[in-house]
Amino acid sequence: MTTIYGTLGFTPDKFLPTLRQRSDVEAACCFHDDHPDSVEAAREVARYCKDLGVDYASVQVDAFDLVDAAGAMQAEVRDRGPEAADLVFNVTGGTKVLSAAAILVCILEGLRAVYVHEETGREVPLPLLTVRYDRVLTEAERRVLRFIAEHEGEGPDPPGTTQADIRAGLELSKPTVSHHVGKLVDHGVVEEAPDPDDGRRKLLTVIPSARLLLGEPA
Amino acid sequence: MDEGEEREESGTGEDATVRILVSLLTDDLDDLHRARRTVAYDRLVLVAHPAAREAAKRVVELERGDDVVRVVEVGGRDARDDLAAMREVLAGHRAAGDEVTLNAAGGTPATVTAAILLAFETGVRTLFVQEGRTERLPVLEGVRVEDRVSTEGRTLLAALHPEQPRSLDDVAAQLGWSRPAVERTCRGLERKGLVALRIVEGRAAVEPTGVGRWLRAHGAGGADPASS
Repeated sequence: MTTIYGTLGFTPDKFLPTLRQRSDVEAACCFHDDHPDSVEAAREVARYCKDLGVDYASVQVDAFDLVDAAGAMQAEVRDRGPEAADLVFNVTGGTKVLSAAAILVCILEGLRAVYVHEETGREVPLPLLTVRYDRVLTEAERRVLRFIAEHEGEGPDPPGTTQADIRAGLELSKPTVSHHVGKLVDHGVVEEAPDPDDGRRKLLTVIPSARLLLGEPA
Repeated sequence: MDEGEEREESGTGEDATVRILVSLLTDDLDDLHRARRTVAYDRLVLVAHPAAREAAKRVVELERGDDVVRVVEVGGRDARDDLAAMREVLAGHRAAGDEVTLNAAGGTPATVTAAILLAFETGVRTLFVQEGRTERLPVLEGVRVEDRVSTEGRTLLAALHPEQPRSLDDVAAQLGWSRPAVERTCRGLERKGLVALRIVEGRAAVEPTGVGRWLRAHGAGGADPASS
């Protein structure tokens, strides 16, 4: 049985083909913003699903905030917990930001993504690896990334945590922390800057979207 | 003028890395101007769909010539076609040792989709530059899609025909592997979305998917400009 996710714009036209072209849909969930036309589109999908006997939910997101929208979608997908093989995400509808957020979530969570071709109206699968992208990081790197994300706001300005904080907090050795932080900085998800109050210290912060690698709200 | 002479001419020195900003383009130039303000670049590559041709010409004039600006035209309607075009652009710049930043905002929805797919496929530094904010996408820079496939997986992908299914027995014979080993590797690749397993004329067969074909051509036993 398949669960279908989708992004919605002002009409459901780009989402309905995904419902039509499958015979095993169990549930559907659409993401849309608070524009009245999008809300009405969501209601139309609700009526369509009711006729088919498909469970339906809609989630309002900020269709102009990429990381916020992706975070909300990711949380919904993880909450429902379906197996990736039983889930399809139609990323066609809505703003470009909404579609981009959906693609991000598909890549991060290893979901099958489809879009409806503008000219043919047919559903086309996107060439994604169905592997959770965040699993590229090792468990140790994720721990360090999570620590920095959780502690960067502590203490006085400017924000950031230090390698010493990580060593103490995670009880890891200096070379180990240095290695993992180095990898995360090289990957571009952690930024390192000198402490303006103490040039000897380097402050570590995560880029906002890196929280998606941890499955946490931005 | 060869590349070395071009760099000296620009004052960056023979060994200086050329910074490339690849940005999607619509007919509204505000998006592009934001990206140009946000990212330092030596050269600009505009990915433009047909409706953005005039906008592209204006940018070439603004930058005073096509030494700085290159326009790559894409259809803007099919993400897979746009992705193929953008892969070629990126591969060329990486082969040249250039430092590339991609702005995935702007363009049509299909092109935006293609840009984000490209970002995660290739591990290129990618921004999403919008009015009021710039997001850096959570792309693990330097991590490419082929890095997430085992050596065995890449070897098997290289043994497949790009367009037609091959029987598992034929693949096993060619690689000198046992049939169970081929099946196991195929199932792993199938779970990743890289191959599809089918029955052809009563025999179990395997063929690459779209991303599997790309990986086969660029990263699995073939020449990979991105890795140079």
